[in-house]
Amino acid sequence: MPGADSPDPRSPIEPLASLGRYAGPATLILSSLAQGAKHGYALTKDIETFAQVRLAPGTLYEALGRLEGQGLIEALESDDRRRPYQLTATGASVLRAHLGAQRRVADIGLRRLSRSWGTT
Amino acid sequence: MKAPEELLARRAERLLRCYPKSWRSRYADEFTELLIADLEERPSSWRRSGNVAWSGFVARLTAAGLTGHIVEPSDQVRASLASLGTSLGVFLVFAIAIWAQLTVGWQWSEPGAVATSGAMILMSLTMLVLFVVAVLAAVPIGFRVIRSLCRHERELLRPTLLFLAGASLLVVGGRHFANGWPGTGGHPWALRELVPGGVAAFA
Repeated sequence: MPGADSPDPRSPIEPLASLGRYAGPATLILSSLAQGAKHGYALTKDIETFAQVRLAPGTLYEALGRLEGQGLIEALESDDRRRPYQLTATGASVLRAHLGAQRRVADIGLRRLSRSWGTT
Repeated sequence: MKAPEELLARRAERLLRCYPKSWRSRYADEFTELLIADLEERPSSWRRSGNVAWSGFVARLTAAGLTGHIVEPSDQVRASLASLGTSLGVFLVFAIAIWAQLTVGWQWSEPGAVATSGAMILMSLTMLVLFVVAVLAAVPIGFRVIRSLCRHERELLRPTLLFLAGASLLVVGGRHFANGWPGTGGHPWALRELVPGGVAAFA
């Protein structure tokens, strides 16, 4: 029987896991777009600010292409050459499930750390 | 002297060429803008150039249908031709090189055992089966390419020319080297010590 700090085996399957090595960049992109629509460079700067990670241009657009292909984000029309992207309803629910699963893992890890190594 | 903006735009366009045409037709404008902004901020970055080159390579593989993604119907013939060419190239280089090494060893002596004769027949039959499979795979693509060229459509001209150039190289190389392709250990390259005998000789 799972203990108090064991993960819930009924956790939903993570849809972002299917993105393979782009799951990390995809999480950052979706988290940034949760705030509102952004174009490529604005995404890069926002992610750099909140995650201290600078996504390289190629990685950013590979992840954007995959997310768009999965219907998690959509491109908006723009008069500018810089096309903004926004989160779709599916993307929002996928991000919520993914971050929830991440938070459960983080909570368990922190609880175990404080139990075995104390708080610093 | 060119304006800095123009130089940045030219550098961004050079990086953009790493990507296939289909990708560029969708993302070129916005990706160029991102690259220009990035170049303004970090004028020199090997990491960025390497990242773009790698992503472009992956995008080209994806456009050729080699990464497991569904290819657009309009690109399927081009993707099939690229897949066929790549597979054929890899097959000819590796499989025939191994086959050549074995036959080079066999041609100097009568098969001493029934097992050796059996292995030779089995290998030859395998080659024949693979050849038939390759022909069956090539027929529909060849039909489509010929029809396209007869209609003066330029869409498949470049991949066809590339494919023919590769095939010609193999044919000319085969005529020139005969059983002595470098690395196979066959006569006469190994005897001229262009390839170290210990490396070249299979057994």
